[in-house]
Amino acid sequence: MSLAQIQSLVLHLTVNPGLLDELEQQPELVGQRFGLTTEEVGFARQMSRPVLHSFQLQIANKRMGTRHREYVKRTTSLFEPKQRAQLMLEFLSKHEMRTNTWGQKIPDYLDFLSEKLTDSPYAAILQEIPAFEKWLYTCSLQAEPTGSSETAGYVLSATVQVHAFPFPAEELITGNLPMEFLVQRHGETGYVLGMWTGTQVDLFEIDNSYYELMTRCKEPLSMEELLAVAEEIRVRFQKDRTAQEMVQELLEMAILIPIGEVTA
Amino acid sequence: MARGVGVGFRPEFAGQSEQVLKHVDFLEYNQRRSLEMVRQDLTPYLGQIPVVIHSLNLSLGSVQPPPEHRLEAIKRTADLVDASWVSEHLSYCRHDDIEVDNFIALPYTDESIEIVSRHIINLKNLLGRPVIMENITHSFVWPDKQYSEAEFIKRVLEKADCGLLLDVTNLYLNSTTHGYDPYEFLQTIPADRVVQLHLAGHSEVDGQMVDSHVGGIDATVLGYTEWILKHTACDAMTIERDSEMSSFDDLLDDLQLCRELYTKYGKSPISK
Repeated sequence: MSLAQIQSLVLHLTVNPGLLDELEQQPELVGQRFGLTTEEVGFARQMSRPVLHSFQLQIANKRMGTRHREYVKRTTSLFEPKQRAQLMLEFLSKHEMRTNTWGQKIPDYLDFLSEKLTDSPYAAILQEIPAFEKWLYTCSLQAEPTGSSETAGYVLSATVQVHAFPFPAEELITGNLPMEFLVQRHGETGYVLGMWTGTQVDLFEIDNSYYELMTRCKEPLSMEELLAVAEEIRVRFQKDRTAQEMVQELLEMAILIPIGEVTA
Repeated sequence: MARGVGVGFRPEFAGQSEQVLKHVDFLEYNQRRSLEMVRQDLTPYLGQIPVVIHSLNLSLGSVQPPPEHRLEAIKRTADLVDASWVSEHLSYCRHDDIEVDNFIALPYTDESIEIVSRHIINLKNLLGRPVIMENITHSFVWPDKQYSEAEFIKRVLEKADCGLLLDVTNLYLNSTTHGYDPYEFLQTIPADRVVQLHLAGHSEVDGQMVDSHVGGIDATVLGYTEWILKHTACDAMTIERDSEMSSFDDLLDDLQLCRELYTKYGKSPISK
């Protein structure tokens, strides 16, 4: 027996469910690839398939951890628990992770799950959820500072993103998305602000006026321009707050930040 | 030297050092990457109670030796806290460029004994302190084996001349899952090699028993613990808790249970 070959095979088996199929269908080829004797291949095939699948899922879920699960929990909740496990194994077969690379694999996983929703009669509605979580994931990426550094003014912070989705924001944020709710409430626009804290994305529900104001601040505006935009929005959306109050609130929360040399 | 009733240190204990020191005889500390983090976590305890280091990622059972930087990091930590001993898992989790966070049982063979013992001895020499090895919980083992799990562990302990961190919950889960007699296991392990115990609550998920480190240590586990305290040299027990815990206070019930057992069988009671 050669421990090195066995360790290599077992570790590959724990991260690649597809290898388990290969071992069943083409044992000689797997044996050759890992330098195993016929007897050793026989021992490998004695290992319980359900137990190894369970171990593969344990590893994948542990690696994903709470941090990355936050970016997929809404989408995975659209599937039944048994289907989730099957889908995870299928994904792992296509995306072997020799080390923990969930950080980079989240968009692929969401695309993969979105594709699996295609057959649903509500596909167009359900696929909005992986789209939301892909946006959520992008909020966690280190963004380039918004706007040109040559222009001074007030601009949306690079740690903040806003987006409009065809569902009420509160449920998107909490992740409480039963099928009935998704079908009935699809089309109600929700506005969500995602703020990267350095370790996680904090989500906030915002109203249409703040959403509009923030989308207009992707390029730097002088204070005068900013107040004029806020005033135009305030009037259009018939808000009680003054333009000054709206701007002040965003500055205090560091959602809008000054760049270059600005005068208050 | 660490002895008595200890707990695995967790970040949730932050700001509760007085409470911890009141109830605990020693701390078990999971190795962290930066020495600065270690200092931050342990400053209130250093010099107050003994500390032991629990390592998670050396993979001493791998054919390939542990990475130098990890060995150096654990030495720095052990030296900083003047660890009574360093523990690691009797398993492997790495080969070439594949590494997982879960522990995999070694094949119970002479070759495994040879390799893991060599790595344990090297670690002991590097640290200049005792190293003890923990029995892991496992759902599968390489089917070609020369020894039972207990016989394999015994041979490793003797060849590497090291102690055992006996995880009693793992013993309970493994003996139930794989259908062996836990007392036969305990009688196989040399009584003078059992240095420390791990105790934790477990869960059942989809019919599988999981070492989830929740609260509420099972009565069967406590029963095995009594046997161990009565029949072995073990003088240190540790509660592991990673779930359903918001602060140190959540451990008090389990600590009380362990304290009662320790007092009943303790070789040299500790006055708190």
